[in-house]
Amino acid sequence: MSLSSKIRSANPIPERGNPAELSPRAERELASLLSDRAVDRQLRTAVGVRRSRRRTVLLVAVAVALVGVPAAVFLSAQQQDALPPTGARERYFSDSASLEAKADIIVRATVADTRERTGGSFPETIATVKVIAVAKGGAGKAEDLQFSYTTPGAAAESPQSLKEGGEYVFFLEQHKEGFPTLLSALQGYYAVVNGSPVAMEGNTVTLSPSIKQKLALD
Amino acid sequence: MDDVQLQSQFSDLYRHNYGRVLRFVGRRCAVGATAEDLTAEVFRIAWATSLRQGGTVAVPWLFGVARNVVRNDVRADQRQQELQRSLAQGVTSADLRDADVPVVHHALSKLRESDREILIMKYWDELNTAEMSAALEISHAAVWVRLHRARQAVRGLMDATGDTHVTI
Repeated sequence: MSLSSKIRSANPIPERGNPAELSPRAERELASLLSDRAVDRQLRTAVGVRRSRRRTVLLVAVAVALVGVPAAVFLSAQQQDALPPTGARERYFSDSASLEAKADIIVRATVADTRERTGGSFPETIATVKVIAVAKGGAGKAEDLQFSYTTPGAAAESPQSLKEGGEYVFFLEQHKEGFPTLLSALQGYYAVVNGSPVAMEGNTVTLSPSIKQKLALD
Repeated sequence: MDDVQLQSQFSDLYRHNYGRVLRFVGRRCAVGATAEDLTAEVFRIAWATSLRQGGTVAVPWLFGVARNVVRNDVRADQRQQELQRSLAQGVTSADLRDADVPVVHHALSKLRESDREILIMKYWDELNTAEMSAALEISHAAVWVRLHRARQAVRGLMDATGDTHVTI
């Protein structure tokens, strides 16, 4: 037997013939990567729409002079209703699968404590939560878990306040150093109300049945 | 290139190479979950680079990224040491129905890292010259020189351990 054959025969993980076969996890990750790009494109389109709206607003101002204030107020209200959510610059996941694939930790937990930390480059809040159920990641049930998020109001994309004692589903991202962080200011957490997950305003993604089952949610 | 073309090309690259990259990483970190995590990181970097460059990255470049991702991962480093020990003992996860397997593993464990690396790339990862060149950041000619030396070295070691029937 030749040297090359001997070395090949000792391969602990032999190569396979079907390169296009992907595991469910690999499929989810590909979808997540591509959806991030789709979101970028949607946001760029939204910016273009806003610019076009600015031109519309100028025309409306001229109309105000001609038609009168009541009509302008009406048109302005129409414009506001059509604007995208204010957190739209934050990455946005278009479905539960991509949101779940991107999160390193998914838990249902109660907020035990929040404390603000101002020493860094931006104000952040450290939340300590008591884990009720785990759908993904290394956190153990009934353990305390800490993560950080941008203090509400400190940035355009900061989340709304988490209420101490409140129950939530958290989607967290782990890092090589420091605390895990909320995956997204808008989609990184869902309030649990009467046993059901409730998305924040502007978040249209509902959680998948499998995640709800793992977290014992309705 | 528009977004649809970019996504389509990247999707093809991913589908045709995910398994190869996963196994490339797996041979170096030995644990499935870690290999999947690191492979995800390789393709995340590849996608970010594709977006930045406005075109899909080349397949050989993927293996260079994979090699660096593995080297930068602490968990993989620990697994690599475990793998080294296993190779030295001739008891990796490969089944031992072939009597040559422990001999080969033992010989590989005794090689210099650069020799072992290129032999594994050639015969286990089945990388072509362009892929080895990109992964190791050396010229094609240097790949062949290093491969030749590594073959000589491993043959010498296998001869020394009693396997006298090795031909190149």
